[in-house]
Amino acid sequence: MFRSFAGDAPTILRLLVKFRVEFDANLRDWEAEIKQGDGERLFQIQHRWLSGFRTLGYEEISQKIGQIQKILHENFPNSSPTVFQEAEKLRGDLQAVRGDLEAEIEQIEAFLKK
Amino acid sequence: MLDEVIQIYIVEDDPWYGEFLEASIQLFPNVAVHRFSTAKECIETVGLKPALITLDCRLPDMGGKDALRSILKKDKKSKVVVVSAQEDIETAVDLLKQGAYDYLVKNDQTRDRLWNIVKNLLKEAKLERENLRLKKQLFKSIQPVQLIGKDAKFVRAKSMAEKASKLDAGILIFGPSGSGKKTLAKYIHQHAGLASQPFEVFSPIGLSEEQCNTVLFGQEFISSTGIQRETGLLVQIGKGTLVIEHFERLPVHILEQLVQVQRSKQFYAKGSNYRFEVLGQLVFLSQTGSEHWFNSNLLGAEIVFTLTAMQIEMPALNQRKEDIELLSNWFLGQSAANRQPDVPRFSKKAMEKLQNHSFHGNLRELKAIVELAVVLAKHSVVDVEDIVIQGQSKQNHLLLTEEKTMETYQNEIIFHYMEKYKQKVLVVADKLQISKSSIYNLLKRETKGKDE
Repeated sequence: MFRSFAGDAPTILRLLVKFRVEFDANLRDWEAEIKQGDGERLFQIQHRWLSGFRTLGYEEISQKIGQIQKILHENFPNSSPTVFQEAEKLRGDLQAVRGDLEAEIEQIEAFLKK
Repeated sequence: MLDEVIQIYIVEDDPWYGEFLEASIQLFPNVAVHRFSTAKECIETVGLKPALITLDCRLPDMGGKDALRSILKKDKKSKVVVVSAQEDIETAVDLLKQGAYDYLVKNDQTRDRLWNIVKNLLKEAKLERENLRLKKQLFKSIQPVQLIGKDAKFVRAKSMAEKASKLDAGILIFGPSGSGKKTLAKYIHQHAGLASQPFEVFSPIGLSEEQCNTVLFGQEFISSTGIQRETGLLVQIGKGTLVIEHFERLPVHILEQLVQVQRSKQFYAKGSNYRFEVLGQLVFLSQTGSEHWFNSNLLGAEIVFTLTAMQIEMPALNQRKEDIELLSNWFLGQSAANRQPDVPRFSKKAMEKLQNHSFHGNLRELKAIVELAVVLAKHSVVDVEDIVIQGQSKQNHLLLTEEKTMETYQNEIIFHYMEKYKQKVLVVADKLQISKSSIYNLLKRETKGKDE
């Protein structure tokens, strides 16, 4: 992702840091909504998340969120238990992405300090 | 010259995505970005005419389709790029058909594609500015149309044209070929204060009905690069004038479509559900007036009277004999201005020759004759031999178009033969089957006249 934005590192760093803030907030909400079983709220979170992931080039996680989106679309506004099962399964993947994001931020910061 | 700053609106409710778009666009120089989180906020400021609007497909107060419709309703020239998380081809085609400038999916390609759009937009804006500058330059050099003549019929046509310039309805100008119908149409165009607006001329001759349709109304079609829209002349003229020549030769179906346009001032192009507005003026030209069409059942009264609120007859040049001298001198001045430092004048005989000609080709013929005469004239006087009338022999011209006595005609014929046969009296007498004495007497009279 960083390579594709080369030459514009400060902007990318700013965007990634902001995305990290949103990511954390969304992840917290994601976990809360799975527990509460609110499909509509889950739909809103994934919609925003998907745009960000796709834009930043996290293709694998985008596809997984896309699958949840599909199930949500098919069942909307009634939330099926499948949605929450899938959303729960995705938590682990999201944690991994969070790690990638962190690493990427550190990489750009190091690049800018040089 | 400094480049003008272009305004770009971002309508996006997701703050992070809005910032991402803003950061991407702001890398360009001369771009000012304004962000809105609702469609309503954007619609309220569309009047400020931003160069581009990126519109999120899903906004809290309005769907993308409705937002696009409202923006285009406020300013139909708005360039709206719909940005959506959905990769739905049907939605994309639908939005493009509704008038969206482009459709972007939110993914890792968005930034590059948006850059391309802004890059093209900046290029386009630069070309538009250049075009405007050249148009202004051209406008300064546009000469006002001059209508020359004192003939009563012509003066009436000119006065009607001045009235027609105040009309917001179709006008018909009829008269023989070359009588100056197009010039009169341009006079109306300029008199209506539209000189800086486009003035286009369309002729249906040699075109099929489909070609006429495409040229006049435009078309929309899907190509490999997306939906292509070709605007027709009716839209291209903007607030200007479209002159349609050979009105009566237009296919009936096209005439019916024009009737609808004249009634509603709008139309849908072929293959499009986008409604185009017609802001310009239509002027129809024909060699014959409506009476002829009604008598010969060529066109119905409904079509003619819906399309043309006023009919102006342009008289033939041979009906305005008194204007020939005026017009000849005017054309002479025009032609000579480009060719010689001293503007020549017509000799008396040259002017007589022009005044006695029948001018079947009307003003066009007179202009061509004068232009040629200016080239042929050896001195500062355009003489009778410089007036070359095409498709008519010198003998015919002398015999048929000038009013002279029989004696004058006889003398001219004899002199012509004398010149032709190098003053050989016997040969001329033989050719003309007259006596030698007749020729000698004529020469004697001529010499005596000159001596006196």
